[in-house]
Amino acid sequence: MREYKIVVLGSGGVGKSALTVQFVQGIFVEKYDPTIEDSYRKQVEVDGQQCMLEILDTAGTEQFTAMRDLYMKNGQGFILVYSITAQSTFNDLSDLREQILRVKDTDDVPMVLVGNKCDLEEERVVGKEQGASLARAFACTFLETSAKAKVNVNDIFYDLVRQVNKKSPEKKQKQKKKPLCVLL
Amino acid sequence: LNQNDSGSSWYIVLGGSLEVRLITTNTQTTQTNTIEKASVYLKRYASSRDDIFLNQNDSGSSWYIVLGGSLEVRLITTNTQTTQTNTIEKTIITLTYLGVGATFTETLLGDLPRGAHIITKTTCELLRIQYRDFVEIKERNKDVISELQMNTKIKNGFEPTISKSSPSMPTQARRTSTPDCPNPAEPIVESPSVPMARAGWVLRTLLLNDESGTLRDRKTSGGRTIARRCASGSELVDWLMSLAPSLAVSRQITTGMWQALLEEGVIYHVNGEQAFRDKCILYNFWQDKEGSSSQATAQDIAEAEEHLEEALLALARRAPDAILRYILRKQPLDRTSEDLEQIYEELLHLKPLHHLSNSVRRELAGVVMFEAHPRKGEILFHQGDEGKSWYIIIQGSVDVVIYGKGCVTSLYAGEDFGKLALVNNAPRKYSYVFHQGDEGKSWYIIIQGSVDVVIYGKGCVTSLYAGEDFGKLALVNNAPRYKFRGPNRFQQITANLDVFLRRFNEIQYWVITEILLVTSLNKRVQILRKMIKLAAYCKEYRNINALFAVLMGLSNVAVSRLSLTWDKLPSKSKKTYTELEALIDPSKNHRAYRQAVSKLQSPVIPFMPLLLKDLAFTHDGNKTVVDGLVNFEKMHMFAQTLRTLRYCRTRHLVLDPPTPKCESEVKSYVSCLRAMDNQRILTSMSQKLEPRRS
Ligand SMILES: Nc1nc2c(ncn2[C@@H]2O[C@H](COP(=O)(O)OP(=O)(O)OP(=O)(O)O)[C@@H](O)[C@H]2O)c(=O)[nH]1
Ligand SMILES: [Mg+2]
Repeated sequence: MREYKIVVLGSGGVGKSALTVQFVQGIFVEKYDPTIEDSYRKQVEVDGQQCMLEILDTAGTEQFTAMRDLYMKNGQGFILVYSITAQSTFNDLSDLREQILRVKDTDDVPMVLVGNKCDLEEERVVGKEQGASLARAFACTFLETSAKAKVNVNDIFYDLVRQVNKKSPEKKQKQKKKPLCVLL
Repeated sequence: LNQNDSGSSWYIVLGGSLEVRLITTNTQTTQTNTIEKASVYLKRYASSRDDIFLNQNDSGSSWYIVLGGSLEVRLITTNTQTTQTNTIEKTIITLTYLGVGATFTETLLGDLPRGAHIITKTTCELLRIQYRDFVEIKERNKDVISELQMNTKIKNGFEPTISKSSPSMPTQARRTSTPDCPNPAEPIVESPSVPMARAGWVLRTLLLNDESGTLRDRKTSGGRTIARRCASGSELVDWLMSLAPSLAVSRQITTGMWQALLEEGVIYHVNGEQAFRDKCILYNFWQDKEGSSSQATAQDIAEAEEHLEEALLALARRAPDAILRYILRKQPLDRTSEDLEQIYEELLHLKPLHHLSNSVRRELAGVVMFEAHPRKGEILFHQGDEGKSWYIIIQGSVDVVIYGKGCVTSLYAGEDFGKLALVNNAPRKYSYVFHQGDEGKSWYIIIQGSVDVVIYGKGCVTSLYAGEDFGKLALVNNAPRYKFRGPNRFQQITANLDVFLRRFNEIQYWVITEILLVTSLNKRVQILRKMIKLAAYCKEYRNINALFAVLMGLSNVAVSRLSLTWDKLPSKSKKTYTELEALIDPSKNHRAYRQAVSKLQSPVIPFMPLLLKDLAFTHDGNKTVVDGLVNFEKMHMFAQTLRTLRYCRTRHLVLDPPTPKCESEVKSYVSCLRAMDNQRILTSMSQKLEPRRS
């Protein structure tokens, strides 16, 4: 199964962890243990193909550039999150994108721009067109989501998987012929 | 935490201890030791009266960040009846010391007069943001600044316990030590540091011996005076670059090297007006400025040549910081967009600014000023002064002193609660309750260090120890409402953790800097090999945190892209590196690391950022209360993570340290690694070393 490492980035409080937890866990559970191997992994089917997604979120280590660099370096797809209720979180994204391109040393990076908290329509300060036009400038996909109301959360990840596939199609692996299954 | 605030948090002390006090407004309760301490400052104050730099009616106008040194903050009581000087001075109380990274004059946020004096405790480096600039930024970014307001270290700090008519310090002989335009030609330290003094001596000796006669007496000021043995900035840069072609540093860095000497008072602009610039402006060495006519002896020259390389390296390491400080002392209008970019990147590292958005930081970059206070005991501003600046301490520390008020004792490093309550007494506390009422659901966990809790009111002093929870102490409230989510919001009591994390970055960038400073390919391969060896040692001694720092340094793009260097690496080193590098692979939730570390015996220094991430996600991913019941699964997970940490330190490290020839030198080198941490500069250095192949 192909594995995809997805990095979630954005200013504090925009809902990165909420999106991650929502996506990985789906529903609220009493116990979410972040120290086990699968805490940030989820298997999904995209276009008929099984994929294993691993989400890298730098939560708790914000001032700690090393962790962010490490995640950027290892990530294949990037989610840039802002909150539609805070202009500054939107303004911060250009810098983040630049850092990604610097670490990746290329201009073509699978990326989705996400305006989160779209359930808070009455508090909206960043217009939908603003998001769309930034996405055009970044040449990436744009989605408005709500981790709380579960709007468009999975779509972010599916879209990224497609972008990664498109950019680097899975090498027709010299698939080691799986041994046939013999039953008695 | 302040007395009288409405309590809405439940606390559990995991480590350290807490003291709960009630403070009466009556000065009779003043403890003897406070008075004794006060008298110490009395002397200091008296001897430095000339250095007071902001007085009550000054319209001081900046926010300061301390870069170096330390400051003292003092407050004068309102209820001192007599105006006799000695009575007032007897009641001086040191509120707190402000150290590196602290900010002050946060009264700025509330536009209040200053409630305390700030006095330098050691040599200090500060960043200052002026009020008028701050107000503009505040206007444009209301939401962010109000958050900042809730996160400030000393709250609104020096709140106006004093009215304008209260006993103030004698006003004569005050001169302002924060002029609006700091003189860029002034040294920022009292006397040059040893490495800079030595580097200066080496360069001067070689210059005196130089055939070209770069250093000579020249006329200045339209020919009226003669400057002894001076040279123009451009000549000095040319000379230094020709001297060290092997170092292959840019003209800009070379200029920075001279600026590093200038800011320590090793060289001077002949008229004392200019920073070091690569222009036709004259500079001379301090010895010559003071009229020395000594010549370099053959023995001097031999010695200077011997120490040249060391001197150049020391200068090259300091150059980026010197350039930055030069930019920070420039008038905002004179700053180029490149300057602003550099300041901005620097601001990213300042803790007090962490909760600001990048856009606000960008605006701050345009207005923040650098200020150095070489002498200790210098009073930055007085209690009751109008608060118009906000300071951040970059280096050093400051004392906060209060007059009268009584019952105030010292607070220890990392214990910001006490400071907060002390500085934030009286009227303020009421308004704060309302400000923060909506945020009152936080839960505080003290991981390390101890906290002083001070209560104003009617007696009742008690102490709490580690492990106790004190939800019942509703009276102790109005803590900064930091959510438990890593150092960002929880900064008030994790000073040690902060230092620890900063150390990680320091090591990482030191690795990168050391490699990039070597221009010869072969030598660079050697350094790379050494670094890999160092990583292996870290692993052997189970210092996994440092191991990760070194590995992350090596895997930084600026280093990892040096393919010529990596290609020449002996295969044994390559193999070691590949093995070690596998540890930092974050796949499967850092499986490689988690597995490796679980097999290790204590003592271990674990990779701290991951523990922080685990804590943050445990918190974000689990509700604290389910159906009105505490979610014990969650508490259990917290405990589990902390237990891991505790296990790591159950045993002492026992090893025979290798005894190097010059142990103290090694120690002082290691304790203060000098490194460049600007990724853009590092990348461009890397590209210069090994240009991109197309
Ligand atoms: N209304 C609404 N609230 C949300 C949404 N997503 C997240 N939040 C809330 O926003 C707050 C911050 O969410 P987090 O997921 O912790 O944000 P973060 O980006 O991980 O923040 P840091 O880890 O501090 O950088 C929490 O109180 C969430 O409950 C959303 O879609 N709608
Ligand atoms: Mg988070």
